[in-house]
Parts: sequence; structure tokens; C-alpha cells
Amino acid sequence: MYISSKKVVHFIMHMHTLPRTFYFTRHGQSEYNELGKIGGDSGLSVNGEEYARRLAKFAHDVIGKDKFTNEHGEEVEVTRPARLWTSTLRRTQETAKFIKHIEFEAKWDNGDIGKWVQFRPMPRRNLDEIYAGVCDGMTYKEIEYQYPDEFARRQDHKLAYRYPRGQYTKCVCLQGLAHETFLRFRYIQISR
Amino acid sequence: MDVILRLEPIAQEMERVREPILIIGHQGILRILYAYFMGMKREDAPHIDIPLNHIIKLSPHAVGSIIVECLLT
Repeated sequence: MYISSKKVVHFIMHMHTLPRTFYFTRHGQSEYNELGKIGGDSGLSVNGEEYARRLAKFAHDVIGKDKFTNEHGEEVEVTRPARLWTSTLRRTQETAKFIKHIEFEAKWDNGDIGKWVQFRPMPRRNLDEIYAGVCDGMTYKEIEYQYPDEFARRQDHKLAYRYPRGQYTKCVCLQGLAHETFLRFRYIQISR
Repeated sequence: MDVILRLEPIAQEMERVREPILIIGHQGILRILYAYFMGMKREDAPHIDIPLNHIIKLSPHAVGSIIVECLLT
């Protein structure tokens, strides 16, 4: 596989080995989840709303806080800059709706100081759920009934499977360089 | 567009960013990102269970780096 040198330089320039933390969560229960349907763009159920509230508390109290002991042996808690990404679908944006976006004077580990909007909303189309094509909005039971062959094929080959007019999970060309990052990039590399 | 292909810029940005990131996403997408950062085999990605109402904390550079918290039962 061909890797452009420009891409490699760009990649190495932006590498750093500082510890990073990611918090993954699915959206709160959606109306479609409640009905057992896949895909769609429904809003949250009552349950989902409750999860959104608890998630906002977790975001402010845990993700956006740095706790440490200072030189006087006191427990100190400071707000630290944190990011928020969602997809562009309603159920993820609604899950984020109780999270506040407060601007504050942030201090980074390297001593930089600057204005920062905490959890600035960032809906990203690239994070949208895998599109289920003609099966969008159906329950698994309905799919099994209406498209029995497709249903069986998906069970056998989830990775390479795609619903008619839906999207593939397989097939890729991510590549990088250097130790574990390299391994991670290789992992997604295509194996056709 | 192919799913893993469109996740390439997301993964690259995650490698680059220094602040903690909260990603509110979808099962199919989070499975791929999870498998990628945990160095799992691609074939295993579709079988990863990402339950509703849970937070998964991931620190790719630390040992024992997955913590799962349930916020709602």
C-alpha cells in the first residue's frame, strides 16, 4: 500500500506520548431503541432523558475536573479543559443537552493559558451510526421475516456485511508509523 | 462512504488531542473506535458489547486502562 510522505510527516509532527483519556458512551435510550427498531433518527425516551441528566453530572464532576493534592497536603479540585463530540443524529445531541458550555480561563500542563469553552458542542457527521439501508427503521424480527437471506448473511459475516443500500464496516486504508500508533493504524489497514 | 474510512480523520484527531474527550456515539461506531484503540483484531469489533447507560473510560497509553461505569440501571 502506498503512503504519501506528506501524510507521514504530518502524522509524526502531531504525535505525542502524553496520557490521553477518552470517555465513550452510547446515546441514552431512544424511542426506536424502546420499540426495538434499528437506525432512524428518533429522539430520546423518558429513560434516555434521565441518562442524559446523569451523564451531564458525570461530565462536569469527573471528566471536567482534575483532582490532586497540593504542596500543603490539601485536596484540590480544578476545572480542566475537556471536549465533547456527538454525531449529527438527534439521539446523541439530545443526550448532550444538559451539559453546560461554560467559558473559562484554562491552564494547560505546558503552562499555556487561554480562554476555553468547556464541552463545546461538536456534532460530527463522521460519527453517525452505520446506515442500515432498506432495513432502516425495522426491527430484527421484521428483517428476519422480510429479508431472511440477508438476516442469515449478517449473522455469518457481521464485519463484511452491509444491508442492501447500507454501509460496510470492512475495507479501509488507515496507515501510520512508529510503535503502538503504528500497530493501531495497521490494524485498520485493508486486507483484501 | 465506507465506515472505517470515514472514521480515519476521527481516529487521527483523537491521537492528536490533549484534552479528555467525551464521545456520545452509536454502538456500531464506538465498537470500531474501541477495537482500534485497544489494539483488538478487526474481526472481533462487531462482537464488542457497548451497553446503553454505561461510560467506558479508555486510556490507550496506560496499563489496565478500561473502566466501565454504569450511570443508570
